[in-house]
Amino acid sequence: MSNHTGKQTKEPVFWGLFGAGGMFGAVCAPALILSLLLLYPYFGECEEAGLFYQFFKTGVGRLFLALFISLTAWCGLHRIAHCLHDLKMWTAGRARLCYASAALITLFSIIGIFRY
Amino acid sequence: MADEKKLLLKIQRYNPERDSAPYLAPYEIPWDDQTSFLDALQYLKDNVCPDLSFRSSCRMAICGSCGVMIDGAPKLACKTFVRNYPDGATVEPLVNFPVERDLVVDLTHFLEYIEALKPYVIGNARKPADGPNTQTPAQLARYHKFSMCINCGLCYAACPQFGLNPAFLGPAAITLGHRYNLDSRDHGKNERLQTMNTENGVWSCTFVGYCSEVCPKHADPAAALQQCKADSALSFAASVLNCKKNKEVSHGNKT
Repeated sequence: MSNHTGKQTKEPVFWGLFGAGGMFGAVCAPALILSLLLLYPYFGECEEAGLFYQFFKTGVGRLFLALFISLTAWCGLHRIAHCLHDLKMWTAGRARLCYASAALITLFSIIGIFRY
Repeated sequence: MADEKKLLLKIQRYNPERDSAPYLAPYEIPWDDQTSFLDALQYLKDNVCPDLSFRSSCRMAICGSCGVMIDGAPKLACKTFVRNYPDGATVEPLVNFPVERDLVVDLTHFLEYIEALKPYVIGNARKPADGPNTQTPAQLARYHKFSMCINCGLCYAACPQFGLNPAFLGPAAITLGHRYNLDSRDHGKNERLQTMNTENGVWSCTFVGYCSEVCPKHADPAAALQQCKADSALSFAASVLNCKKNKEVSHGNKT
């Protein structure tokens, strides 16, 4: 009989981040795209910063943006890692490269958002 | 088969003692609106090629023996009707399994995976003298859908991840394990999660969802796997916390 009592995998951590990023993206991305990319520049909020834009200058707003960027990065790169697995591409170090990229994006988003 | 309409079926033949590779052989079968693919195969075995090998038993989608690929899709031969394929069809053995002969595949791995996930009640100390172990309709409803699995293996033929990695426990075995995890009479969830939370357990699934599409009993294995992932993630978090707690306790004992 095959042995299926092997080592416990760390995949739940990455799956948790993938799930959180997917949920965050699905719920918040349409609102953010509508507000920041369409309503703000094209419909009257160009002259002075609107309420929504001001929100991203507060601590909570910055945290929200940092979470949004980093979690969606984890979600996307987890999916890319699995797609590469499905396509049998880049087998060695595939997951490490994807997750390291997500960790770097997380780091840069936190530094970039809270520094300025 | 009274009106003697004829249909061309291409059936994969393979006799490992004689053939170097499987090949498709054309056969004409008489059919009417009530002819299933299993009827067609049985007709060929009785009248045309007695050496044709295929598995079957109940003829009513209960036993799960007659799974084959019909025009590239996993189907039960007894539940699929020839009338839906007016231009003919190709019948092949289930993919992702080694072929033994003609339409018969080797299901050993699949059966081992079912065994590995212990699909039976664990840790229930009740004795016959205690009387029946009753359940409420709500408790039954939690796992009822998943108990519909008939172990036909169609979901394994549909699963691209099982095709890539034959060590993956796969949809049906995990669904059966999950069915017992959800059963109020069972206490073996942690034991099963140890197996599910391995490299070849639930985490090999990427939620393609084709397993649920092809399931002839609508057991929805894709849903079972996603629920198992959530259970497995919670169990992982609990094990990390417990590990921390145990370390603190052992550290406290040392000092």
